Amino acid sequence: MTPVPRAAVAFYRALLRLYPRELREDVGDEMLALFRDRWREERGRGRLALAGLVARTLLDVLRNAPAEWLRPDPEKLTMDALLQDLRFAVRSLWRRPGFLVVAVLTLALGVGANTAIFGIVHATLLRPLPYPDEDRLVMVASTTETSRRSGTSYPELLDWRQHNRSFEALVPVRGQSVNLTGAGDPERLIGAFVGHQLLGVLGAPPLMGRDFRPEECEPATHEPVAILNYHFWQRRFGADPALLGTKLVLNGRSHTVIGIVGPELHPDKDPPNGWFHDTDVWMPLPSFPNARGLERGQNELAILGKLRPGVTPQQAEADLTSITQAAAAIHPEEVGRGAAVIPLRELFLGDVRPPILILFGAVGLVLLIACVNVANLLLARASQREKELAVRAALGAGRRRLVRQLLTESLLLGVFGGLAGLAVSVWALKAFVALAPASADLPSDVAIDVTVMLYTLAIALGTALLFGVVPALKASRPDVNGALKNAGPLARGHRFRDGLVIAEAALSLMLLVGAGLLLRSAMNFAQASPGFRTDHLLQFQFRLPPSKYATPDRIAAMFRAAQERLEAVPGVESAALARAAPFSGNQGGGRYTIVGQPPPPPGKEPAATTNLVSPGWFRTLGIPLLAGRDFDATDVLGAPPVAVINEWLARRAWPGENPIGKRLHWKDTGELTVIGVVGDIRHGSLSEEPQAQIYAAHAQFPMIFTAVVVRTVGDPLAAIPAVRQAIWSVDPEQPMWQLRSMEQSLERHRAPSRSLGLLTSIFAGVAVVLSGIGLYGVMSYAVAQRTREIGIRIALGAPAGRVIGDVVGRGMLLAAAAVVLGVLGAAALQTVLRGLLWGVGTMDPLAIGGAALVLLGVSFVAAYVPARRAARVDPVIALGADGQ
Amino acid sequence: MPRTPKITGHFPLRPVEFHILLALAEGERHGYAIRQEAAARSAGEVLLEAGTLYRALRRLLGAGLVAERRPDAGEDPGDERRRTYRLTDLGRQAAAAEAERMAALVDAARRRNLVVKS
Repeated sequence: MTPVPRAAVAFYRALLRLYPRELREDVGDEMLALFRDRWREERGRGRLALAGLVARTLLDVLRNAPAEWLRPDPEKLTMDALLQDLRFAVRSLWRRPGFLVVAVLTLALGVGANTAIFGIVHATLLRPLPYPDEDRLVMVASTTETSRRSGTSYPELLDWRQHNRSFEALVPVRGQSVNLTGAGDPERLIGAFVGHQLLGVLGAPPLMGRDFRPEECEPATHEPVAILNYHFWQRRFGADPALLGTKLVLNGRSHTVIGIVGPELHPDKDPPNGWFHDTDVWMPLPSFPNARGLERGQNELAILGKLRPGVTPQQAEADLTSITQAAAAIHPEEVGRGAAVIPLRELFLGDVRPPILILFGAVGLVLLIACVNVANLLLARASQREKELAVRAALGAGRRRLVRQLLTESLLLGVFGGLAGLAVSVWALKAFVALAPASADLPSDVAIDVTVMLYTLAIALGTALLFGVVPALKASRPDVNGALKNAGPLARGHRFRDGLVIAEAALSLMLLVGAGLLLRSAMNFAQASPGFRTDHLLQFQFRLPPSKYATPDRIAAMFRAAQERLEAVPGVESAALARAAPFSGNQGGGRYTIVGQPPPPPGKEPAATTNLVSPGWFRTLGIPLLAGRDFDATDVLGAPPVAVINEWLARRAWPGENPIGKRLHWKDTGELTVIGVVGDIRHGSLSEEPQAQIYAAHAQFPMIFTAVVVRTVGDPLAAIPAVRQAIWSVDPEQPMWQLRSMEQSLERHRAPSRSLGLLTSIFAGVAVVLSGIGLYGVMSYAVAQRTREIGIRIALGAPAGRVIGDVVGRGMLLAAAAVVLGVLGAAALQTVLRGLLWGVGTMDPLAIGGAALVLLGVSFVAAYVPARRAARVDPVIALGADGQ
Repeated sequence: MPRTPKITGHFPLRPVEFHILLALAEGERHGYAIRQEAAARSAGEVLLEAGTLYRALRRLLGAGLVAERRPDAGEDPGDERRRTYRLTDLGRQAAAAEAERMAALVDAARRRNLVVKS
């Protein structure tokens, strides 16, 4: 027989100690033998099965050990004894309302915060995606030598479809906004150009009408048809069933409505970061406006895949990669390409998981601290009750009966704490959801439901046992002789309580350090300059229907007219157009080479972020022009193509030289002559490093999509109606969207780090207060115990300052020990935080020093109050006291 | 045991206890075998871990429904000592009575068309 690891045996032996000795001595060896058999059985099934065994074993002990302790003595009447315990517990808790209130509030904070965050975990990370067989859904991306996630071309998809053995379905999805015109106000819709299996894979067949037919989605046999999403059909057409079979003008072309999808794909039911449900209208992939969009090399498709049962993403990845590599023999442009298969869960939840888990960890620590605190309170209380317990023991109460009595009390505390915690959690959850950034995309139905309540019940009772067992076991072994002889409270156990206080203070220091780091990071985000003036800027975007604006001349003329009309609006300082506005989510990129310098090997060319901008763009945003000139009215179609570059690129490409008049080559535009140099800006995110930026003239490469930025004199949002009218005065059918101020766009980038910093700070604050209460309790108790000694010292002439110093000194010693331990603990935790920090090292001295100061400050207060009490001890009373 | 326990005093048996009695009906078994038997019989529904199993065995022992055999001191213990359990006469009667009680309930349900006959 294969041996079972020693650690596993030790684990089970430790669990066995939770049972009464009598049971352990009777069947402990048998239970261990059974556990060994089970281990051997599950080991054959892999790690997950072993983890399952550990979990089931824990549950087994959790269910049976308390039951065994609470099992009535065979001689006694069962219900009566239990009721008696309960009555006694209520009375004994009621006698000391101060203790009851502090303990229940402490638990309520810990349990409440935990329940609220668990509510969020439950609604996001634990809930399955709302699609059938969601564990088999994946996104397939192409990989290149430089990118792990690139788009896929249509011919590449056809290769995969034909040869793969891993997928039940591979569905192309190409999202793009769509203009709806012809009936009522022009409107921009969220569109998706897709393959025919999409709705089937998402488990959302049409409620009315039919799904796409395969041939409608093939380029050769394509039909202009459309399927509408339920919420859009309701909003725009009042859920009119007669819409089915009629025609809508989408992107300037008539499309027949063939189906309406049911409410399954409502945006409210979209998982965090999901985007399938946002769609208003689906059209066949060949309806995509770009005529070249389906050619090889146009790597713009996202692919939703459904794996065959039993196929892993890794296997599927290898399968598709080998197909692409085989195709590369015929199509050289595919050399170096492969496939990445990413589970849909991973794609959607990958980014939300770390912050949520950090918060969950933080509230876990808070709960642990609350537990330690209550255990400490119970210990102090138990030693005050030593006499009572000793009397009961002397009168013949068995140890088991005493343990049962004390556990009943802590379970009762757990129930009270759990109920109060539930109340706290309802409120806390509302607060957390309000504090969460919009980008966290929390589901709309985060709530305290049955599962969450069960969780609350489990943690409340679990913690009650955790904080109740040790004090109960310690207290049930009273030194009958000593206690009854009134030898004064025993010093025994004070080391243990000191240890608990140090532990909880160290845990709260860890939380403080983590919160401090996250706050520092959030402040860095708040203060980061994007490189331009973000105030008084309004931005929006629109896309021209290609059917109406068929030639570059027409597009350029429309844009020129739009800029002129916008600048004529009262209260508008200037306006400019570009391919992509900063922080809008849009961004261009490409590879460039320097003309006149030896070219790097193919595929190794340096990358730049790129943009096409109109004259006045730099002035409108407030990007400083450092050399040369801005684009002007002479940079038009037919004139020599020109570029403005950023300072970083100028220094990199032509160090020590004047870049004006030099030439570079950008794949999308061909050769460009540099006419100006501008300051570096951050375009995609506040944390991005400076990089090469190339601007070409909007008018020389007109594209149907454009972003607009308007600098206003007053509130930018107030200018929206006039700005809309200005565009409609050029083309009354043109929809616009994402009208918002630049500050609003930036806020989306700043909010997540701020929310995380704020929430962890709240938890750290709660933790510090709890550990302060813990320290206060221990110090008060120590002072009460030493009343007689202090009285003697005062009677002998010790000054009050000395007494205070002694007591505070001892408290600060505990706090100092906690700081040392806490800093070590924080160092270990930093790997968790690293990915979420920006511009601050994980061992930031300011965060650590600040945290230590806060903890020491709170500890000082917690120790000083009882110290003052000690200094006011009246020797006459103290010497007469019996120490109680 | 102060007095001879009456079978009716054990009703109703807890499901776990009934499963153990069933597993022992075919002969003497040790703990792990009881577990496997119960898991197989219930198609994986009844999964007894050590605490639940041995607490139930202790209850059944106390009630006189099963008897245990401890390995003799002289016996070669192999690598692990193993206690085995078997049904007592009383246990067999209790299991039978419980089965009849359940059968009567099922019958009653069937008469009220709660169970569709196959």
